[in-house]
Amino acid sequence: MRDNVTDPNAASRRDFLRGSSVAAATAVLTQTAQVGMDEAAAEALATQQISAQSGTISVTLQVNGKALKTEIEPRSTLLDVLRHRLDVTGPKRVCDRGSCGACTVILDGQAVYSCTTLAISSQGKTIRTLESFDTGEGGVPHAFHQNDGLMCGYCTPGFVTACQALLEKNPNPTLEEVKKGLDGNICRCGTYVGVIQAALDAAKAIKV
Amino acid sequence: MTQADRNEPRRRNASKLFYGTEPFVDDLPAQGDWHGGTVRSRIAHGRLIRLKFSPEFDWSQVVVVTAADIPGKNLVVCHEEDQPSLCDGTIRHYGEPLALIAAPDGELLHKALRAVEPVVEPLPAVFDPFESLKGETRIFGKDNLFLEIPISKGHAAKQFASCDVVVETNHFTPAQEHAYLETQGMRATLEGNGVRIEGSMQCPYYLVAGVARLLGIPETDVRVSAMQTGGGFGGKEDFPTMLAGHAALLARKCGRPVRMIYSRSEDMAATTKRHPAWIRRKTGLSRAGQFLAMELDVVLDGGAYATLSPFVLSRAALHAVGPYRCDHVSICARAVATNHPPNGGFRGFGCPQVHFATETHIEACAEKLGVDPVELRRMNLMKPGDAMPFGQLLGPGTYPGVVLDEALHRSRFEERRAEIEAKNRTSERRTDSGDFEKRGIGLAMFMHGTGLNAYWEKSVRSRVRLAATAEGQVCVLTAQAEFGQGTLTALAKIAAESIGLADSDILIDHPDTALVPDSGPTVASRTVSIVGSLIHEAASRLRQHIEERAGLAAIYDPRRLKAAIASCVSGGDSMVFEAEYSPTDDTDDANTWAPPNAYPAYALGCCVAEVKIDTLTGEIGVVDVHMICDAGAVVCHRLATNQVFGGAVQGIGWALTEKLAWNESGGMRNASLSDYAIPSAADVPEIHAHFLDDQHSERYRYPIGLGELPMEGPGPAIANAVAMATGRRPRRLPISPEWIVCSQGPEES
Ligand code: FES
Ligand code: FES
Repeated sequence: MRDNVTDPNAASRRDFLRGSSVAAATAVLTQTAQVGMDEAAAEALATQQISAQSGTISVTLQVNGKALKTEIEPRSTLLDVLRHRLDVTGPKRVCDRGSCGACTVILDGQAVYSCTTLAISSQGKTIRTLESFDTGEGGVPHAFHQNDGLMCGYCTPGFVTACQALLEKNPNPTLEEVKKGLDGNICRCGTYVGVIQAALDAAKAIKV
Repeated sequence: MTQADRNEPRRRNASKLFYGTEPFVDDLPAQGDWHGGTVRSRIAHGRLIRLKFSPEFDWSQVVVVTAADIPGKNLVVCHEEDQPSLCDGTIRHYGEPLALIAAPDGELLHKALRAVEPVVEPLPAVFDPFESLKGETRIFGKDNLFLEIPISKGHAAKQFASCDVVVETNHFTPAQEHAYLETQGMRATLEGNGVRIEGSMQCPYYLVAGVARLLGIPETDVRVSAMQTGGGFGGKEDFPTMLAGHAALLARKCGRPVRMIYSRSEDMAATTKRHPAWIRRKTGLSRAGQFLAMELDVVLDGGAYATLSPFVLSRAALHAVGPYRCDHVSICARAVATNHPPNGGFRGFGCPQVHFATETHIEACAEKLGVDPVELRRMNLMKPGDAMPFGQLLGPGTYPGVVLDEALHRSRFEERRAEIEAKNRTSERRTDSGDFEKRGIGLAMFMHGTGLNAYWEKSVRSRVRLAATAEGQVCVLTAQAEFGQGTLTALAKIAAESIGLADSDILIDHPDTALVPDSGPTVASRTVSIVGSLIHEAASRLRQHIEERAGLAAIYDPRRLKAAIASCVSGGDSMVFEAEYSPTDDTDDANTWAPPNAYPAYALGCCVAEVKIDTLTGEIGVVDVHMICDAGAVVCHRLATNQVFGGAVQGIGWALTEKLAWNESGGMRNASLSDYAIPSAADVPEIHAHFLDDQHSERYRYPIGLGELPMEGPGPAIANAVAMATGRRPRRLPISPEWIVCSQGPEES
């Protein structure tokens, strides 16, 4: 679904930096998310298997509709495993203590902080990150885009995910319900006005 | 939002961020990178005798770098050459980097970091700048004074004698943590003879100079690529230079790419904060309310190394009087060394501190005289042609009084104040706790000179470049980083409009020093103002070239212009156009910190804040904020409005919730986002942003710079609102519920 991203600037910006490693890295990243793991991730994983020696277990996680298998230490958080083992880098690590919401994922329909969720206990559950959301005009990301619901963008995956989870449960939220639903997320750039409006607009768009 | 705003170009990198496809540095795939970490001091001051490496750990699995491994100069330089990259034997603050370790994975890195123990000999530490000035504990130079800036105009000391009323107040403003959501992060890769740096930063060329100095290699061997940066606010101005140096040292030692990503607690404990400030203000007035004489002492706690303190101090000193006229002024501004971790740049850069003092002091003056504080301001506000204490005349079209009037009008200040006064007197509205709610409304003026001060802006010699492609599109090449302000969008829009091309025919991306010239740091609200004006200048060269080649008609139609550019490129014209900053006036070369024509223009603002206070619990809520900003032309209203919202939210946090606590070693004790409370959606009131930009004067033809301005108003406006609600004047921030409920609270400190 990444291929459908409609960014009018995407082509020109990439042409401009053609051949630069940033562009290359983006390509790898996109591909990685599609197939689950690339060589670099596999290599990193191999290294970690050796270094960890004992104490790792094998888990299979259902991430964005794919069954992904990896070896982890039992105490690994879902955020760690997503970002470092599976190269799903949408969820961000900000506080690592369940107080900012940047790492939010949807676990069996529920918005959770992946930094305070154990990966092993996420087995058998459906894990969704913003990489899997509807990128079209009726989707939550589009509503954020339309409402300038970001500045630096680091809190954005968390807000978009929390909003998605909220609207799946409550397609007609009031302003108060939106505020409450997004209460677990913080934005240091102070984009709250745009974020809240985006959530309200997304609710309308989904209904259409 | 008006229709015109809706039609503005969309934020350039936005959709990638929403879909999670624009990588931040820690999102880059593993690529066999090793992970780098830092061994830090746990004491504030002392000698580092040696590092004890535990024999239980197998050190052959990792690499270790100490000061002895530095091939070039062991220095991180902003201005003074006082800060080592790695401890040189003397520890001067908690969290100071002592050594670096890189390991193939994060788990092993943490084991290694835990297996090193610094053997130290502690020395007495000093955390109070006034204690420090006594010089008993030596941190910097002979007297622990990083810099003193005296500014004097007229004869303040003599003048006080002839004043009808003299008012003196003391103020304190606290440290503030940037809390950019993306922690500091950097990746270093060996490339050719040198090194490639990618990461989170504001000023790519600072890293080029810093890494080259540290490694002892030519600057041409250091390539720096700024990535999408998850917030900066000044916190990624100087610090990334140190981190890039560390990553580069480790990459050299282990021969692989090294990635250093700070954890939240490390970032909070080890990186810079807003300078705490102690400000004494004394003003002599006539019975009628005219400011006749002023005396100001400003003391900043600079922390253990000078870093950006001289620059912050300069801005604080130059803005100390605010937008007011006074003929007899004496300012003494000092930045003092202590054993706290170094403080640095933070949105506002010294201005929030001095404006807090000025705007709360004026209310005290009004109270003493028994006049309306709004009238007292109006009577003393500068007009174009009035001189500031350091000699600069306020420029044409710069009318603080107009900004004040607009704020009063839009917020219905006087009506609201009268209503609140009446209600507070009867005060029968019950809050949840069953006690009475009091309200207050307060106002504050503020101003911000754009760019670096004239001396430094001149010394940077910023250059921008426009380069045309074979398709007739134009690349904008500057060193300006994108960390949320909308740099890429705004600069592209300036280029599109100045050249006359469609926005989609402008190409711009995160700066890579292999491609872009040095257009200076992304700081000081200088991006759209200073760099934008250079783009405009280069664009006019491009247009002139096209006019000569293809005739006048070609430059007035975007499609014909694009075709003409393409044909010039295919015809072999170089089609690269540059512009370099050259100040028009003759800047006084000797005056580094208070040059007479300090800034090319001043942005102005007025903030009105309404608060409600639960008098039982002391809880303070901000109900409503009006921000009136006069920052010249507004490039993108949508981006500018977001800047105002964001600045206001940070200002509210600084005023009310963001309280830094120190441990016994002078480091940040509450180094987590659960213990350091930045505002959440629930703390944010309705914010009304309004720009004065639609007038026909010369002032509104070009942008003046807006990034920092909105941070500067809410602090004093909230304090003044709280004073109205409680009848007691807060002299220090943050204003806590405890202070509200303590009947004998520390009004003065
Ligand atoms: S990173 Fe998980 S809540 Fe902040
Ligand atoms: S957009 Fe920067 S933290 Fe929210």
